[in-house]
Amino acid sequence: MGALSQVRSLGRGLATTFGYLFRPRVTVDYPERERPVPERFRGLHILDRHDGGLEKCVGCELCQAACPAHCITVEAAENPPDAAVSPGERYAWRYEIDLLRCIFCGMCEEACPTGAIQLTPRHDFVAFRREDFLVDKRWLTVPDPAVVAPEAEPVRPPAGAGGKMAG
Amino acid sequence: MSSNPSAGPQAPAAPPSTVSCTIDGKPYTFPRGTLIVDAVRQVGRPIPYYCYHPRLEPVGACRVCMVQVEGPPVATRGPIVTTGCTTPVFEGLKIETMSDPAKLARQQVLEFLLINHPLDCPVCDKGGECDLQDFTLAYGPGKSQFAEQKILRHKAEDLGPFLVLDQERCILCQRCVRYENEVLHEQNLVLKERGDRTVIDTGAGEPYAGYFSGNNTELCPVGALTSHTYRFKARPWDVRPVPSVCQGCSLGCNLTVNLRGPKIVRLLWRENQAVDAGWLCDRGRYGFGHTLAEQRLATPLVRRDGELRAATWEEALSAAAAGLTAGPAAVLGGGRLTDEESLALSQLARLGLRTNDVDWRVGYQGFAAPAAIGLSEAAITDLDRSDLVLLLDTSPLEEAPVLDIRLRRTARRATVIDLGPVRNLRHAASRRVACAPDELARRVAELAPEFAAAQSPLVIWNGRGGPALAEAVAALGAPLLVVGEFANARGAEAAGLAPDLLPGYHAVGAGAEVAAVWGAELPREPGRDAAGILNAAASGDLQALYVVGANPLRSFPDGELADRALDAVPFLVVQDLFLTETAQRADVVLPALGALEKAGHTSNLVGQSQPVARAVAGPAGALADGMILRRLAAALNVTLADQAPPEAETPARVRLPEAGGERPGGGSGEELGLLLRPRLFAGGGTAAFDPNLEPVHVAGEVRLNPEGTDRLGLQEGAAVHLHGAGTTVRGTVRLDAGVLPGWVVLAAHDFGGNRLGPRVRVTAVPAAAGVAAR
Repeated sequence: MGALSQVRSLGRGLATTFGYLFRPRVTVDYPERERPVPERFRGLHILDRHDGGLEKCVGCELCQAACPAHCITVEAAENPPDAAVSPGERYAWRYEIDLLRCIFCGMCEEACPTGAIQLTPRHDFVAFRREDFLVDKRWLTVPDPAVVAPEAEPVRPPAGAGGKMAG
Repeated sequence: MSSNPSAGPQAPAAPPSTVSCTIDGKPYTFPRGTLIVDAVRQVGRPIPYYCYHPRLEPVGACRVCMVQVEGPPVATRGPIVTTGCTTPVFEGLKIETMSDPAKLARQQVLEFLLINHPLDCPVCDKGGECDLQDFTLAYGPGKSQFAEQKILRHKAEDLGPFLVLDQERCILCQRCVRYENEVLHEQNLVLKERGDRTVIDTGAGEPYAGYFSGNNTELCPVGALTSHTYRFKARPWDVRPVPSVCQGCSLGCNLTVNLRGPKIVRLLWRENQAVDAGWLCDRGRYGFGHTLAEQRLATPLVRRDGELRAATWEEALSAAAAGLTAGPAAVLGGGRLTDEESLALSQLARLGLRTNDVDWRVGYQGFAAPAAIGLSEAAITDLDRSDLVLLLDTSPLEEAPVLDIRLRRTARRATVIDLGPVRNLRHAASRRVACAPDELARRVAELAPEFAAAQSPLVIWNGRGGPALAEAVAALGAPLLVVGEFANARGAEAAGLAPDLLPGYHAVGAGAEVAAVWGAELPREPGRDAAGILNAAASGDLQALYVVGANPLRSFPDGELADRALDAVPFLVVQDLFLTETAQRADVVLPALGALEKAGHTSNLVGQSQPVARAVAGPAGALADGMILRRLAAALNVTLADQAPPEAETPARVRLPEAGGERPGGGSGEELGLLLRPRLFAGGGTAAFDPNLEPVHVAGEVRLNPEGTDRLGLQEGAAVHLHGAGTTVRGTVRLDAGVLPGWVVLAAHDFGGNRLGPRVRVTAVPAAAGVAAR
């Protein structure tokens, strides 16, 4: 009795296991294939541009103020009159997000008056060092179609950031 | 709450001094004449306003402080809506701040204000602390009926070295214009054009020229007037406020340091009616750039093989201690330290260096407290009462600017005598008595009858001029305000940083109480004053000199003597923020922290000790002067006392330096007499190394009376050479009718001026040589 009972329960367990062979697959071959995310999924951020190539961000810091995780740092400066970065007087020379601290709540997107900061469905981000999750403007800003290769130099404050105007 | 309706027909008695009225149904009593807006504010009810400001006269320009009133004066018409800032409270008035008509009126006014106001709050420096934002949210209509194009104007009009104007954002409340008119009695900002084209602008379109432009940025209720230095630096919710006290001059205006992270982004006023009346000058408001200047000393330097090289604090302090104890040593400076640090330096000199050769007076000022020459002390607020003020060869505008604002108010009401070779009170009616510096004592004596007749006279003096002038001033018998040359001159004197004084105004040789607190015998012979110390150094009688927060090469009236002394002295220790001219000659340079980088107390010109907070950290390698003194004292085996010695019952008198460095006699013909007079933005310390002050920094300014300059071929802005005492310096002419003919005025603490001797020859620089020289 005892031995038979054990074989039976083994068989029942294996039946469950082998039963899955004949059901539809629930896994995908990530990363070759990705599962679709919901339409309003909040993933990694981008900083958008206007059609002409100007950055939408004006450095108003409202995203920084709205962020419940305090993961955004923005510092603004005066737009150089001859090489404007954004429309108007002000642009963000520094824009950093600490992705490890971000909770992807989307409050920044909600607060943004110009639609510059947007959460995309993208969710794959890996790195080997914690510092690599501190992303700056070069990483966040969508490429300018007019510029072939994005500049490689680090983000630095402009001369007299936010200080005197030129001229 | 008692009303008095039973005034008889034959009783034209004075109306009661208070009136009773109700605000939102609750009864209150106010002094007669109180404006409704003040009354509503006092009882803690909210009321919006733009043009109204507690420190300005009411004008009724913005119309947003609408309240509903009903009562005897308007009884026949029933309740009406009126502006609270131009209507005083009446007996029996019923004020409703939240009635429907009042709400509607405010809503309509706000809708009108927003017709042409751009909605660029996200990029506006005022956004987050803007009254237009806040009141629109609280009282506004929510949406506008105005769908047309807004009027477009200049967005970033550069109004001068510190101010930026956004014409679109201006709501024409006229606070700035009225401040210029009523407070400064200047017209640096005016309204131009009419109707919807009205804009704010500088008087003649030239850059803003006054010293008080920054107050406009705080008065402005919207983001129209903002500053270059704060432009786009931070939003209001970023900043952390730290209350502190300005140490740019001896007045000690109260201010709030605003920090974003570790950096100062702006300084704001912190009203203290007894000191600053709520205002700040541009030097005080914008002179914080030096805290991050690249030239700040961040490591001690020790001279090795003839060159200053970086060293550790241990190396530098042991080198300093060894050098200072190798032979007779003296101490110069201290006028920029905190009260506590001055005391520490005083004790270090007396016990560590065993000398009374210590003097804070490395400039023109001979004493700091009226008691030091046996006179009584005036309060700053006495200016609001006095009927006769003598301005004795002193320029409050250049030496303690915010005091000048108060003096302008005084000059509207009282007699102000502006005595001296340079006109000092420019913006208010005053009696100008021009005289050469050597005639000052005689002219002061002539004023004695007028002072005897005055109700509450007052003398403002910067302590330059020597014992004879001090005697003449003492003979007037009026209380004295001593405007200090250095921010904490008063604290330095009180700490006994003078050759004949001990802390608490005990005389040297009679300091048993000081010795008791310090627990050691004190040197009993009075020491040498600054000139004596420099002479001794020049003649080889001193082995070492310790200069703390001073730059005698610029500030000492006899620059040639300072030059010889610093060259001759075998060992020189300099403690400063920057590698100044004096520090460049040092054997050991100790990097110190600046005024906003250390905590303590600072005494203002009336001896009021005000606490200073440590707002920023400063360079990592620098130490607070107090910490340097503490460590140096340890190296000298002196334990600094924590406790201040008690004040002397009768303060000892200070021996004034003869003539205080002033040179007698004027000039004639080609030779002109030389005067060194303070200028607010001159100097070699924080003024020279502050990027914020760069546009207004004064260097090489040569002020001349226009009379006779044609003959010399000199025009405004001409490059000139000044020759005197075998030295030639270069400068730029500024014609100034306020200068006595026959004299030329250079800025005190401007390098080179103090080396020219008493008489100079002014020659135009030939055009071709203009580029090559300097």
